[in-house]
Amino acid sequence: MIAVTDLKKVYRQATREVRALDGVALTVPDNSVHGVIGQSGAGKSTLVRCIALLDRPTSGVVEVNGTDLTAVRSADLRRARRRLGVVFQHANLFDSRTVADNVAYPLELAGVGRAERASRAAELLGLVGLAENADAHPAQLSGGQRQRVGIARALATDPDVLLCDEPTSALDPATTGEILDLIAALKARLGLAVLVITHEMTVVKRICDSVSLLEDGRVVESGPLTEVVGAFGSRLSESLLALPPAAGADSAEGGTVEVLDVGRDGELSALTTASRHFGVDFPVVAATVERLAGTTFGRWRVQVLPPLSPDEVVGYFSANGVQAGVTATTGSVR
Amino acid sequence: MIDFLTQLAANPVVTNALWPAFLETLLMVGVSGVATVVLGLPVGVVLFVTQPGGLAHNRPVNVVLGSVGVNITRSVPYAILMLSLVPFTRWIVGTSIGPIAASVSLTIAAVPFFARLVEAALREVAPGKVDAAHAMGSTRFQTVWKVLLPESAPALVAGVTTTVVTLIGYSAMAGLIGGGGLGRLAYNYGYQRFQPDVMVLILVILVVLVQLVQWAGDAVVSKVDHR
Ligand SMILES: Nc1ncnc2c1ncn2[C@@H]1O[C@H](COP(=O)(O)OP(=O)(O)OP(=O)(O)O)[C@@H](O)[C@H]1O
Ligand SMILES: [Mg+2]
Repeated sequence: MIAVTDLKKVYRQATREVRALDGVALTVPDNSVHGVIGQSGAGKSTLVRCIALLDRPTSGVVEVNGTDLTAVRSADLRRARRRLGVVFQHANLFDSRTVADNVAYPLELAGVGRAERASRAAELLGLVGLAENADAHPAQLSGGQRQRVGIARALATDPDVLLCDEPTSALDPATTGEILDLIAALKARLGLAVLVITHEMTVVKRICDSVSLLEDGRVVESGPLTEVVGAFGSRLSESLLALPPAAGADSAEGGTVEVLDVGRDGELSALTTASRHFGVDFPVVAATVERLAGTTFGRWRVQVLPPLSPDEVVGYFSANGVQAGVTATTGSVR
Repeated sequence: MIDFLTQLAANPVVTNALWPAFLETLLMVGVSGVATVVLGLPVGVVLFVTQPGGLAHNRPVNVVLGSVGVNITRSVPYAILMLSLVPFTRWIVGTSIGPIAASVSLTIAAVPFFARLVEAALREVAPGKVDAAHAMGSTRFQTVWKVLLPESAPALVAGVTTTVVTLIGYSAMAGLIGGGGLGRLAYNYGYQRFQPDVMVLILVILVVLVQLVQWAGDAVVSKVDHR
């Protein structure tokens, strides 16, 4: 388990201070994947570096399995780090070593004997599907294969926690999918607490159980995936259920209303029910449907034509427990 | 041409003095080369790790070693360094004559040069690899020994090659103040007694020697380079 409390990191530069992390708190239980998403400069890499103690936090607590890493030093810190694997964006493999020797490196540090290192490395490479490449050098591998080696190496000391800083940002979409599936499979198999840093929504959609939105060093939204996506109007909900751009729709007559359908598998959409209730059609301006963490989400933006007012429609939805809101009204209403 | 070669082959300078001089040159370059690598590698590593933001950043050590130790030595021309080191050499090896004595000033001239090459080679290692080493729980020593040095091996070997080639050049100068070797031979016979054939022969030998060293160095580089 990872538990971060009130984590702050201030970089002092010649003329100014950069508050890269400004009181971050998050928890990642075992056997789950927590995503941290944010724009460039939000502090995502700083968060990983501070949790892995590659940078010392200015203040705050970083607990891994109940041990506060900020409180331990030198030899104890090095030992504590074996409980924690780090996967980097560019894998950061050692070019001078073979694939097997890269995976064996953490075991070498831990004082494991040669024969045992070799068999453990072979086992780990099998786990990530690279058993055949043990004697290759990293330069002979593709980006996706290198990342697999990076994952195998991070798992060598049997950690309970895996930190991944943009593990797929350098990969194409197909390879991204493979690596994400691998991380999810390893999580389930080894019961890992995984923290994944990313700026890609696909990563969150595919493997995360919970997610935090980081902005200017603060967590502005956080929670289980179904909860944040199901929170109408939240930033994460709007980004994870992104609507295609609908040109000219906002200038249409009447107004537009947005509706969030949650978990209506095989049931009527709230939209259909409303349409029957009011006896009118709601032309769809934009829509998206996603199945996330086992729940189907539908987000609709529809046009409401006079004499019906957008507020009336929203009122109906609210009364029936469906989240909705007015997104545009034009002058022609009444 | 044939005449030139037969004449050269009969020249007592060539038959008697060339081989010992060649061995003296090899001895000077060999001894100072090994000493330079043994001393220069740690100096280069210390320069690298003590730099601002380095593994063991330490401003006083970095400034003293870098500016005072390395830069001052490097800014003294070898000819002057060699002469000024005569008393020191006498103190260390008991004499200022001979290839071993010459190796002292050669080493002192080459160590700062090689140390800078080592520092530059280590700087080429991607910082992410150092992060990875730390994240896996390496000590600073392990990071240097198991990661930084192996990862920079191609550049380090290239640095050794460059240093040895430079030492071959310096060794000719060292020969003039008693080091002996091919430099001395070229000066005595090729220059002072004006035997241009001896001069040409020594030039050819030096060119071939440098080529061989470069070729061997490059061969080792391609062997250790897995990128
Ligand atoms: N070593 C440093 N010294 C000074 N400022 C830093 C340092 N590292 C990061 N910062 C600053 O901290 C802020 C957060 O940086 P960080 O690298 O964590 O962002 P990020 O979310 O990972 O961005 P990206 O998506 O581009 O990787 C930025 O304003 C950055 O300029
Ligand atoms: Mg980053």
